[in-house]
Amino acid sequence: MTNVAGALFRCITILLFSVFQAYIPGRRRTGIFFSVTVPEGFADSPQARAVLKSYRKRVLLCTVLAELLAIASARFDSPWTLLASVVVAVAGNSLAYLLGRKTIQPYASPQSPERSASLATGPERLPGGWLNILGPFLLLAAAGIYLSKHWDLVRDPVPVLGDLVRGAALDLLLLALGLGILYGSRRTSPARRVNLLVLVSFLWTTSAASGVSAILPLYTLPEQVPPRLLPFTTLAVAAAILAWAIRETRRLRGARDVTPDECWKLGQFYYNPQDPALLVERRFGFGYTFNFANRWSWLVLFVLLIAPMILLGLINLY
Amino acid sequence: MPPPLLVRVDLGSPIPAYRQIVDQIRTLILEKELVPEAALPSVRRLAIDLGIHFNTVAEAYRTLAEEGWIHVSRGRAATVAKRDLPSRPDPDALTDLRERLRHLISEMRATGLSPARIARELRALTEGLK
Repeated sequence: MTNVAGALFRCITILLFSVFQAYIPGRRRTGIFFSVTVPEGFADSPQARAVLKSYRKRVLLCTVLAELLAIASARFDSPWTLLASVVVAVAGNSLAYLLGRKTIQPYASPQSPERSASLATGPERLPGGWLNILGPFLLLAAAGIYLSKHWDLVRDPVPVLGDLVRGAALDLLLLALGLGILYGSRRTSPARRVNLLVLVSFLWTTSAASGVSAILPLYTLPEQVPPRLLPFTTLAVAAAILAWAIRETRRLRGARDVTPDECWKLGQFYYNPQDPALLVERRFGFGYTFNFANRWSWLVLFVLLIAPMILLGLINLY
Repeated sequence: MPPPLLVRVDLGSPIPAYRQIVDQIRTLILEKELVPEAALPSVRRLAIDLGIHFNTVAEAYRTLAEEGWIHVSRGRAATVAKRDLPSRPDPDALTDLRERLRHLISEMRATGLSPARIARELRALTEGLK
């Protein structure tokens, strides 16, 4: 039973990842195709459609192979086969994208060497100002104060404190990303405000979810309340925020991208030592990516990857 | 609300990027679009927005400060200086400027503009700087 559930989970994860991969070349900015600057209307040409078709065929091939390996890993309980399925899914799809990009490169059009910037010097703020940022942290603090006042009702302190610490850590992470976009990205980026609004909304969502989750064990809920109501509600809110953001950014796709084509390594990683920006808008999909030529990006990435591991380790330790 | 003042840089131009920034900010000051005491964006902010190296913008601000158009001090925003124009131009500078103008006018003629049209263009631009 566990093996069947495990295999199903792995297969669904790989499938979702592959569907996303197959879909990304379509979620691009105007004038960009496979991370290459192309002439207006090129994406609708027969050549572009042929490249997209063969890209999707390759993605399908990788997916089938990865799914077979994932099933085999569950069948034979082999972690190496599981690792192989992940490698095939990730590396195979990246290779498919790279091949698509290589085919598109001969059709590339020259990029405009012109850049412009505003001389405005107004204060830079996250949406809603600092009070809006402080709010989610106050929410967690309020949950903490409430818990300390009813500490005698807490049966197991570990998950309760875990919820609060996880919430605070996530908030700090989101705040750091927000500040990174605010101070380390171009003000002219068309989707900058949408991205900041998403981060601030997530800040409130995670705080509210963590606070409620920490307090919930103090009460006995009526039987008719589904046990997983809170995580599903949180996921639904997050999905609604993302759906709104995707709809908003679709309207802004016409804006010109000033990052040079040759600085998009493998079509997905931005590396430009001449560009002082820490974060730049992605050429497809939604959100920002690091400028890997900026040494701060490596530091931030290290903190983003290591900090959750330390946190998880500490939670497991206590 | 008036539209924000913009600085444009053409990375394909033979004129260095820092010089393009200097020329545009100087023009904005002379046209009184930028008034004395007005703050300019920090070097970091302008460099990020233009997608060019910090040193390029720093060099532009240094040049403007040396020419007396802006004040730059560590840890504070660069501001437009109150600068009176000299009552009599420096004769050496005048010779140099005349030479540059001569080249520019030749370039304008080469594009097919008539001398009368060039004179009109120059007059209009000079009026704007009064």
